[in-house]
Amino acid sequence: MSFANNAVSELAPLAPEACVAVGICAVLCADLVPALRTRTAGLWLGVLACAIAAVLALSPARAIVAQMLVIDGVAGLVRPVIALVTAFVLIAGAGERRSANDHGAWATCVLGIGLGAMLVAAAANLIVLWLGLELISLASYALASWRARDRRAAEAGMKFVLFGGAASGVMLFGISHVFGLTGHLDFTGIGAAFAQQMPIAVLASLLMAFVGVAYKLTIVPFHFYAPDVYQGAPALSVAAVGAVPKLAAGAVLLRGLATMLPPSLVPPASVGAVLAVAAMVSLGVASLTALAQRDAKRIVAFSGIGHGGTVLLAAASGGGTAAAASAIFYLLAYAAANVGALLCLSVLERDLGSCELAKLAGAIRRRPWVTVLLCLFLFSLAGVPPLAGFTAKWAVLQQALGGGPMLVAAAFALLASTAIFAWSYLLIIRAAVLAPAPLLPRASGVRMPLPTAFVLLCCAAGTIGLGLWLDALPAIAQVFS
Amino acid sequence: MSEYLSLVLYLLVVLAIPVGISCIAGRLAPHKPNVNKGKPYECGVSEPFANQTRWPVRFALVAMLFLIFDVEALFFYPWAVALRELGVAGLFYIASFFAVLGTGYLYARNRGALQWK
Amino acid sequence: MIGSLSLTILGPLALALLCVLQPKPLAARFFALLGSAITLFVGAGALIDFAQHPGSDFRLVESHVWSTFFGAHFALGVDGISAAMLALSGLVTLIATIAAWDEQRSPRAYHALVLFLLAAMNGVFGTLDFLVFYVSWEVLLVPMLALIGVWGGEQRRYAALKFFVYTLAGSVLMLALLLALYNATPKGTDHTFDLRTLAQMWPVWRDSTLFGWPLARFGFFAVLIACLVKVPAVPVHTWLPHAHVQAPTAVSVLLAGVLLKLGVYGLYRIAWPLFPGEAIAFGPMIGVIGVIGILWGAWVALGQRDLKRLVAYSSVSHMGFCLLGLASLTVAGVTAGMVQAVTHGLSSSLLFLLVGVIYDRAHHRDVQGFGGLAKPMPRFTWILLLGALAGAGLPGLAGFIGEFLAFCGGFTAAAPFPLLTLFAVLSVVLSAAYMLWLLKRVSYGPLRHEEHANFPDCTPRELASLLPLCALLVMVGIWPGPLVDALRSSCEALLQHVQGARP
Repeated sequence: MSFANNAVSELAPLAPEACVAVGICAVLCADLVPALRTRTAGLWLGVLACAIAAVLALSPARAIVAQMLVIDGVAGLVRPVIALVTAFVLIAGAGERRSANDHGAWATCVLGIGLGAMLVAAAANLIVLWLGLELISLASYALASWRARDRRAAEAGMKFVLFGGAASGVMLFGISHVFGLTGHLDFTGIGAAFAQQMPIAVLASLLMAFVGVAYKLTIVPFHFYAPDVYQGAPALSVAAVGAVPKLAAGAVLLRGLATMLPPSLVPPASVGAVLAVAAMVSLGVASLTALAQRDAKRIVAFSGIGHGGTVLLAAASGGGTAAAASAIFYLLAYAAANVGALLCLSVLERDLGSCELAKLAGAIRRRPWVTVLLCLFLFSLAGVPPLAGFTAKWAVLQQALGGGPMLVAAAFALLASTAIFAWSYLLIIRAAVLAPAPLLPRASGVRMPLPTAFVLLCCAAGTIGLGLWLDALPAIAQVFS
Repeated sequence: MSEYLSLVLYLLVVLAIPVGISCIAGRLAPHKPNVNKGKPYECGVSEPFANQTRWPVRFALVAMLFLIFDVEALFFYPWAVALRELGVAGLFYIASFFAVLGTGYLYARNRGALQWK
Repeated sequence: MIGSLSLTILGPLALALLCVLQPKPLAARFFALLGSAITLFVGAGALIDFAQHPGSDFRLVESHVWSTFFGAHFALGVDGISAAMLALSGLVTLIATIAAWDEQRSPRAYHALVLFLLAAMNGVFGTLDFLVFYVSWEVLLVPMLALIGVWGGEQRRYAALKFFVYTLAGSVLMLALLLALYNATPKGTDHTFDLRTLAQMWPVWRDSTLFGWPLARFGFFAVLIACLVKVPAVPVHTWLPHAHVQAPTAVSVLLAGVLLKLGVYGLYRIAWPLFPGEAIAFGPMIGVIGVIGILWGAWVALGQRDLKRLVAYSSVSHMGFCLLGLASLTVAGVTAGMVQAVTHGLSSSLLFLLVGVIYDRAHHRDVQGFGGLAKPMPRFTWILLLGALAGAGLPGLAGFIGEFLAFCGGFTAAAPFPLLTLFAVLSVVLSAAYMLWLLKRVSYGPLRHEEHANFPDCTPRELASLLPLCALLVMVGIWPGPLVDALRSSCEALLQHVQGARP
């Protein structure tokens, strides 16, 4: 019995993950009852599981679980946020009109992404990292190609699976090499071995092992699936596919850089410069390509690629808590604005049929409040003060400007890309607010579903609150130290 | 530098083998094209199918379900071997695993994944 | 504790929210009136205080900690200049609200945006903290984009986007400066955004470098570009005619009356105090930019047929005097720049309102399509006469004071300025020419179109928006003492600070 007790106490820090897993089973079981299947009961079960998980994950206890998972400061902060964002997406899902049979399956997929993301955020072992990423991917594939009869959804799903499969293959290849070279799969063990032998060979294989993470962060050149998935999938599903895994990938990237690299390589030393170049490439490609897009969701996708690059830049600018805090703060600001913007787009998409810029005309007349909030979220993504996006960008720039020449160059690339991105967001705003439109009737008949309105207001509060609360940054750094 | 030599050599060999094989195959193989060789070929069923054949998605569904239970068997095997050492906790672990799997199975069955209409 | 300055920022913000949360357009109009009245009350009170007790100190000071980590404070306070600007923003918004009383397109959203704009303008004018200044400066763009882009004329989208992009480019530079200053703070001293402290630290900015460039030089040009776009100075003025022509009357009034002053105010509040060495070194260059603006604006105004474009280019010309005065670094010159900013706010508002009055009747603004309006619209013609003469700088009216002081400052300043001022004097002829020509072609001569004979004269509501401006133009013109007194001490203090940087 003592063995069992030990096992339970050792696994206790994983209570939030267990809670979500039980939630998934509960949703599936609820879906078996015909009376419940036609309602949104499954969704609310999922929300409940996520809420409990978020509360459980808030515990300040730090732990290492069998060299597999680590509940450190970063995980302690990111896991509850992931649970919370997943819950928000599920709540908003209750406001969607999809065929009643689909609610349970949809909730399962979203919860799967949440569970995978929580595992990834706490991963301290390449195998757990791979499992978590696969869990996210499998659920995401289903969400991306949800509209089975839609050509774009089919294309999105196909691209997603092919690129995802390739990324995961490269990752496994890299992991096998890391194991072969160092004899370890856990981050600390790799770090210890790394300090002694063959840094470049290990570095190369580690790079391959982190391709999966880069894929979830949508960093160039692992971004090709993103625009098609954003365009093909319903906007609300995109919020789960896009924002939640980014949080997790950012967290594990920070942990990997901090624990696996020998001190001579830790950013902002040599590895920092390499990451800064990667960040610059992401920012440049994304901001310029976004200009040519004619679909609001594709623009938001390219913005996500740019934001992934910015997180990379934050991670590149130092191994200390300040840089980690800026990266995580950036991700929080991004998640709030991104989920909000996609939710607004999902409402408009339902009303107007599509998120193509040409179709968005007249949105302001039809849904004034949603359109105004959409502008708010886009302004935050663009980095207009005093919204969260501005404070976050400020924090990242602050870190990068303190580093070497390559980091400073990347900081200037970030400033330049900010201006270019602002133009693409302006294209959306122009289409939704300024464009002349056939006088659409105001959507007074179709009232805004209460759950959607609730989540929108929460996102708006987060976007404004994180922007005004400048001391959030030192508070996060405090958690990490 | 010498410790990287092995890595470089390894990468070269890895690159050389597929490239070499395709080159050799292209050179050595006799070329006698005829109509039948240009036709799609699928497990002996060749004639009546057009080029763009669609297979029912149920094949994939069954394949995936099979895969899951395959992995399940894979897990059960080492568990059975180490059952005595794991004791009650082991029973708890496999029970939770089985519960998750069972829920999935029930769900798939209930949604008609195993019906062949 | 909320002080009166916080009230001028938070009050309009809260009222803006109320505007859209309640259903009645009429209530929204009154909220807009209330918000601008609060600002006018606080600003005019402070200005009168400065006129009675001149001084270069900051009054109505309040400070709330925003972030201890960044050293940012919600610090507010006004000197004579900001008090005048605050009063101007309150007055012009009040008048613009009266002018837009009949706005039919989504009036609640319209007035909410005007209140939002007012709060942001008051944030710029009322703050002593660079971060608050920057935030307000950026936030301004959003309501302006919407006001031009949604309520504007035919090509409103193009005009709004052009306005946004021009000013955004400047803002990005200002953000870079903000970061550079923050990073250049010496180790051991607390980070701060307090403008008074930052001004005292000017030797630090002079001595630290950014990529081998003196930080002060980079910073000076960053602020300069951001501000010159707003002023607007030639050659970055091209957004202004478009924005004015497409904007509805009341927004044109806000744009000319207050927003253009932000550029001059930014130079006065940020560029000169923080980088005094550069202000001395590049003064002549800015003087040249100013004179080019004066002459180019006046010359182009002569050729305009669209009344709004004409008034817009006259704004470019008049704002050039502000630059010339500021650059001359004499007490008379700097004071002139500020006085000119205030009086131009009054006269250009009046002119845009008048253009709006006839546009409402004729539905076009082509100057050649009018003539002989003096007969059907005598009151309108009298007011137009006053506005045109004030714009032309006739002695006895407000426009004269700023130009005269600028000439005084220019002729007494160091080497290139007397020559520059000589060129600037030429503009007096040009501005008299275009203003009087405008008057002749609109109001005098034979009645060109029969239907114009039926035009009603100014309505009481129009008079309510026009007459206060007329009264102020006359009052400042014949009795400029109090205004100049209120502004001069702060200008003297600034000059003393700048002269301290002379090697």
